[in-house]
Amino acid sequence: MEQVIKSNCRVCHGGCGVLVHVKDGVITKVEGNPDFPTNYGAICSKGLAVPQLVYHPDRVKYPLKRAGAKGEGKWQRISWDEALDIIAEKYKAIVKEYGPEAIVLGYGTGRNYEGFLYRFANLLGTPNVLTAGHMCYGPRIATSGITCGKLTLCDYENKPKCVMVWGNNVVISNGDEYTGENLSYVLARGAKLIVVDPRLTYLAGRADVWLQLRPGTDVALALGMANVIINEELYDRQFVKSYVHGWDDFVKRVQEFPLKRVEEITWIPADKIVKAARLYAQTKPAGIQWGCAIEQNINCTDSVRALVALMAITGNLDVPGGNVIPASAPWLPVSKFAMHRELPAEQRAKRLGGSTFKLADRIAVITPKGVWDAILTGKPYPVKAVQLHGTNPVITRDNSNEVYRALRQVEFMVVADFFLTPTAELADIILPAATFLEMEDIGDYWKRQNYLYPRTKIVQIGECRSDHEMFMELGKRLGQEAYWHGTVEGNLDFILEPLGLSWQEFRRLEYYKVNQKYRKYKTEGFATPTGKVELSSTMMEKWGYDPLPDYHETPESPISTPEMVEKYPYILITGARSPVFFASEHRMIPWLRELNPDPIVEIHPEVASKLGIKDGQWIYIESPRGRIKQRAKLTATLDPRVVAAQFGWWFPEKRTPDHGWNDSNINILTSNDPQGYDAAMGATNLRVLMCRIYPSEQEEQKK
Amino acid sequence: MKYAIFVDTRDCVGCYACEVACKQEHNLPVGPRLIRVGSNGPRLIEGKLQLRYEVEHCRHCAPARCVEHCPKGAITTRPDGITVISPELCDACKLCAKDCTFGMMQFDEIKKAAYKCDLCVERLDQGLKPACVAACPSRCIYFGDKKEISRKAGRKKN
Repeated sequence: MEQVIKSNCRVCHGGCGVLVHVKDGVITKVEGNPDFPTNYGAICSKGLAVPQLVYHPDRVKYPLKRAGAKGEGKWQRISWDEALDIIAEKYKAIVKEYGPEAIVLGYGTGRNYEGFLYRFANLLGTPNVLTAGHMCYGPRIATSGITCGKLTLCDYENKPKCVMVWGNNVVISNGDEYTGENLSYVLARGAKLIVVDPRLTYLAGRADVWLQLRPGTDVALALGMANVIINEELYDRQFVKSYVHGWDDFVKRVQEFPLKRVEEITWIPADKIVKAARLYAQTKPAGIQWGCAIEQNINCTDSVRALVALMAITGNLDVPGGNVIPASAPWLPVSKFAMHRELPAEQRAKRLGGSTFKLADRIAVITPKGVWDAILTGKPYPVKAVQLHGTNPVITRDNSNEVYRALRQVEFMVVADFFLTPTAELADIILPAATFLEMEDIGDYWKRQNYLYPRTKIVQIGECRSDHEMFMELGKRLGQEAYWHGTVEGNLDFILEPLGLSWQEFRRLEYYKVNQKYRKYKTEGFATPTGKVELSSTMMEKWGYDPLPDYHETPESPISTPEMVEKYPYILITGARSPVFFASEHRMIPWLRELNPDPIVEIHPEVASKLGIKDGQWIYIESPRGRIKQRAKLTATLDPRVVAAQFGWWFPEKRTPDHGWNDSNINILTSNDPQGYDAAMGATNLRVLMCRIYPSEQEEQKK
Repeated sequence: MKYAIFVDTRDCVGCYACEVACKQEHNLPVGPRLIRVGSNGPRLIEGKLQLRYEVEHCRHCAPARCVEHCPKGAITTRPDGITVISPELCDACKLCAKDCTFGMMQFDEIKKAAYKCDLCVERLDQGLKPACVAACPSRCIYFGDKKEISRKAGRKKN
């Protein structure tokens, strides 16, 4: 029998409507749903390769228990009951001896079970949830929260006339809330385009103005643009007068960024900055499409604040086609489901790094080094267990060598994943996770704020279960029975209750959309302490930080550490997206890996010729932390002073349990020295490093 | 009516969705690529440094050299202009590939099989567009009546 079932992809954060073709109970094809209002049938390579993910022969299909030494790759199949009992007993013992804070929960990019994970953690009493939230998306949420009340979205539905894409490549990779299709649509209809990116991407080439900045200087550029907008009086006087807090102080700070200085800091000619500032300020409406590149450096919080300031002073905040503040969702918000208020104050006070990184603490995220230190040194208190869901920190967190050491040493580790990643190989218990086609779930119960959609269970693979179910079942074993509504469906009913729908009713809908309202500030103000957009932040001031955005030079850079230039002459940027992978995933999917078989480092041809590096050659990239190998791609898309390496690389085809975790993994080179952190978020610096590059010995021998 | 396909590479973002859509639709192994995205640049276009992508695909030529070269009569052009291969007649001798300007005859060395774009004839029969066209997030692949598509292609510069 053949069927076509509507669902919603979750290969990245999710959001694209898909049609799932099923024949005799087997998924034969996944394609875009032409009628779905977020993607209109468009779908990316990763979404199209979903059948190869679901039926991959290497999927973990049963709970596994370590049967040899840690990391030895020997596993014994056990039952779900045994796995969950082992974990629950261990946690009871740890809570008794060390307190719940000694158990750290963690997730990666987050796939709709964040609420379930936090609910479990908060009820358990641990304040320590390890995510990417300190340096990806979290800073935009937290900083927008204190600046204008809530994270804003570029309002493609109302067709911006100008889009400023800042540190983001949304047309080939996940853009958190929107699909690249939405941007392509407005560009095809003539929207102006400004792109801020150190690499010439497709978008940068197409842009009316491309600002090729020195990596890590985003905030200086944004303040330089504000300087133009204010001094040329291109700002929205009425809005500023009525809805901005701290205008005079902000103007004073902006005057410290005259274009001559900004040009020096950013490498961008002043006339280009003027052109971009005028285009953004004078084309109405204009939206900013930002990405995590602005967050992964020392200026994280200030970059976000400066960009929110640009939205505000140009009158583009919460207007159709600008950057809108999503209307309140009429279902139970994730923050409520997560039960943050149930975490006792004395437990919250124990959050690792919480008293240092106060903005991160506000949204319940931590910087990872706090966990590694606690494991390795027992300070400020020991961490005895780590439970990770859909995350591969050995590959994706800064200073991989330290991450590896810590996860090898931690007393007890649980990993839930689709595959045996280099991180999973260090676990004591492995739980087989279900893909989005193997569970009942409410789609995008967080990120795409205006939409909610059902995902229904289509197939069962092995004994895989949804992460949601794992948290619920563990919770029941740890005295949380009363909070978990019996079944996963009971929890879905609970989330939907304010909508007046049950899961059984909701699962028959294609989607639920909230009607967006605009200029809500006119009646409600902004959800900040002053009720205005805080260009000077009262919260930051209260916490003892600079209330205004400012530029800080990265501690390791040709300017801060000129003595390093001789040995490490190039600026290394990491994290440029490949269209066929999501972070460290998908290296085992044949259709995708074929298109990007090796890790790629981009080098300017002039530099390559000076160093004797040929196109396609394996080369070493070395930083003071170590060295790795990637394949050189010679391309004049970069400033010759900059080298761009891919991230997320491991080699599932290497069948030893280490899977080549340190061969090409860029985080061998990144630093987690707190000196490089953003002061308020604890964001780690992944984007501005110094390096040298040279042909690999292997290649030398071949000559 | 005769069908044609055209990629307006000015709008191609290089995301590879078309390639994987094609792989899935035809259940292709690693190796054969019936539509192929490759970067072209950076180069100066209208005074501006740009990064464009080249997209290679079967043009369904009329007359088609692959059809002429096939000794088994395994490749034929249908009345609607679509050139298709009949796997039961093909022994993967590769003679068809000899004169293909676009290098779009594809082979699986292990299975000893030849593949080419068939514009997803099975989908067309159901009233659907070819898989690559349907998936393309930047909507740069145009499919339809050959006359109309040729006009579109004729207007393209750069």
